[in-house]
Amino acid sequence: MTQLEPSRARMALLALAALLSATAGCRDRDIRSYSIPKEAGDSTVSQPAGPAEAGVASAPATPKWQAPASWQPQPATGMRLASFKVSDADGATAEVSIVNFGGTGGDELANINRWRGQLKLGPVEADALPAQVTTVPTSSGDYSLADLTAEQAPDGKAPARILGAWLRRGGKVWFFKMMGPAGLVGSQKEAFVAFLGTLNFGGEDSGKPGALAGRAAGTQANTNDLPRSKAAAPDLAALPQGPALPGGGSLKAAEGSLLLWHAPGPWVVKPATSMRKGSYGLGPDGAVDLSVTAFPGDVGGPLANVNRWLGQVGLPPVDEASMGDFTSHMQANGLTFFVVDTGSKDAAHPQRIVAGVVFWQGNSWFFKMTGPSELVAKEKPGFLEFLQTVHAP
Amino acid sequence: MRPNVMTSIGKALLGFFNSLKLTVALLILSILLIFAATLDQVHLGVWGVQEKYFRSFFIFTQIRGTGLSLPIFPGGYLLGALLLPNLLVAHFCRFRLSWRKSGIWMTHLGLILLLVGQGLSGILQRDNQMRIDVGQTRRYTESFRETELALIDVTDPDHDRVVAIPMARLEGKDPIRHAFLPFAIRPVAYYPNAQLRPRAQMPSPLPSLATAGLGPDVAVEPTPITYKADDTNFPTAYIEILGKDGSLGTFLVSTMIVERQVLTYEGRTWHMILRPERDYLPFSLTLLKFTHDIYPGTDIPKDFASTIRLRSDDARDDREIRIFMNNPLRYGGRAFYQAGYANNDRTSVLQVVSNPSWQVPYLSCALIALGLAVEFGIHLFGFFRRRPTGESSKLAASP
Repeated sequence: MTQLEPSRARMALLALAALLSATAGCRDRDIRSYSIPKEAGDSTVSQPAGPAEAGVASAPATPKWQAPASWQPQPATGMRLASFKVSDADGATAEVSIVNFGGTGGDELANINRWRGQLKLGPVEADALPAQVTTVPTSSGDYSLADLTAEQAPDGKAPARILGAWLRRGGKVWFFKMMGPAGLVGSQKEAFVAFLGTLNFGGEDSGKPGALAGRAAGTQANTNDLPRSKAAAPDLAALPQGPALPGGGSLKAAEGSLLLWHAPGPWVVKPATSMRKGSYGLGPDGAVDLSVTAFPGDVGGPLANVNRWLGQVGLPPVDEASMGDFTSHMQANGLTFFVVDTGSKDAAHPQRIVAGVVFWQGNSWFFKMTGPSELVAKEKPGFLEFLQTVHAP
Repeated sequence: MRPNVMTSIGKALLGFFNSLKLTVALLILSILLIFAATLDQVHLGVWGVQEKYFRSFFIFTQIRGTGLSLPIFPGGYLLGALLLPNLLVAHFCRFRLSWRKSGIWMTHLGLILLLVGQGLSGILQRDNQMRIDVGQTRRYTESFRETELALIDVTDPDHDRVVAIPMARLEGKDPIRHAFLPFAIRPVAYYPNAQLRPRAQMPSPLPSLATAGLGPDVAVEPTPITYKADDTNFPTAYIEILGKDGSLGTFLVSTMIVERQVLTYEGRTWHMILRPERDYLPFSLTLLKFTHDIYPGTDIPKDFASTIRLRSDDARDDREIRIFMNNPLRYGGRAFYQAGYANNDRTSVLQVVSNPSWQVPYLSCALIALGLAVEFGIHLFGFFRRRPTGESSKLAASP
């Protein structure tokens, strides 16, 4: 080996190397200023110029609608895209508001219970949801509609009533709400439903902004054409965004015709496999396993699935008549879940399965929670809330 | 005395960097780093892993309950910064410049270029995207990760004057001033990620810090920063606008708010919005057509392509180009890759990479290949020269 004496050139070499390492990672973070020609469609502001005229199309950047002429437009404030005041001959007034939000906007149960809270009504459980929500099909999509009336006020005043409708479209949730005296709101119900039918989104699912950013309809394609450093970087506007659920969980999304859901923050995300679309560990040390799988067709139907799960927890099969003892149905975001809750009687190692099955676009989706009975019982409420977050893309 | 000290320091440094043991140690550490980063990709995603493991000098871990972070492993920048002088010093100390060693020289030079190129890419490369609808014309790209507070003077009927403040500046507390801004901006609160919800929908929202714009009606719910590839952070901040005579109000800005908020001051109208950092181009792209083919019976994309019209500001270029998989458009120092699509195939998503040093890896690889070929050729040539000729072989074989 040849050892050379240090020379100025070599010292300079070392200095250069040190400089290179020292400057690594430095990025320019200066304030920039520049002038650009005005661009069309790039300056939607949060304060529309004024309320839309009754009976005419609404302001740009929102879907178009045809409001009844008797609804008096009010200034759009804050988060509201539009407001209307509705009056009757007795001077009673009701208010109609239109807002939209990115993400899922909360699940069905949360929406219903929020409105129930505004009417001083107690919250309902998920089981009661089907009775609270009806579907209003329109050319823009199927609206969920709730019609809630407060209890009779002790002072003899008319009880308040809420007609609340919402539509998930293009990664946003659009809320339409009428609130006022029960009699007036009741007389306007037909007009309200007709109003929903006039909503025209003009095919602009994601291009036009609402008040808050939403999840754009679309798919980030897989491609082998990307530089490595950013191959998996998300398309900011096309990616799903966290819905309005606390806990810092992540909205799980996938390409194509996959359902979306929101897993609570405390759940441990386990790697998905070719079979599992989603996989989570719940409870202490993730002892409770939650899997999300999808299979074509009905996979034998409800009874076959129930009996398969019964077998997994060491119970004998049942017939169709006695299946109802541990199954129920649940509505979430336009999906109807078949919910099964069954557990073994084995005192030494009691196991329990709570599962929700939904048939969607030709596939059966299984959301199945398995584990020790005691732990599964603790996780069940969270699991049912989780099912409420499942929705179509 | 001083020259002796310098000489001994120089000798010590040369001895340190000349060590093959250092090379082996650095390579082992690099392997471990890549292994750990690959495993951690499950939790952090590609971007998070790059930031934590490779674009850092040290990997830190937090001691539970103390809030203290301790470096536990060298990061990619540190390993690269040590490998480069190690390679340089070892090379210059061990090899003399001669024709016989020219292959080794070229190979090492290629390796050094590769390291330098990677360092330059880390510093200079910008990855942006362009979302463009069919029929739409765009003349800017947007950053994937970086955000900026744009204050836009829209008073002029023809042009907008934009002052773009990097989000990082809002993390501080000092008022931000700029020659083109008639007011100052005082950062009040900053959240690297937050969910925004209407206050009316929250059972007991915290009091809003905002006094103007949309903010008073919005509840801010700070959430942990996410590094997952399929998740998005929504940077959010409260900023107070300070005029000459005092506060003009505190506004809430967030990438979740996609509409501009309006401020009128001294007869001029300003729009403000927190948005992905924009890079304006000296040319425009118009999406003429987007095609998306899938494999029959599946949702798997087979081919997707954007036909665009490129028009440069100086009118030198006005042409149609088809961008499709593995065929990016390289123009104006940027490469436009077909990256995705959205909105029922009406929106094309192009990934735009700007890297002045993009040719360095190609040059490095060519140099390494040439160096190896030369080295092999020299040995082969020497082998044939030393090999006995046919006649002498026969003579040697004869009794």
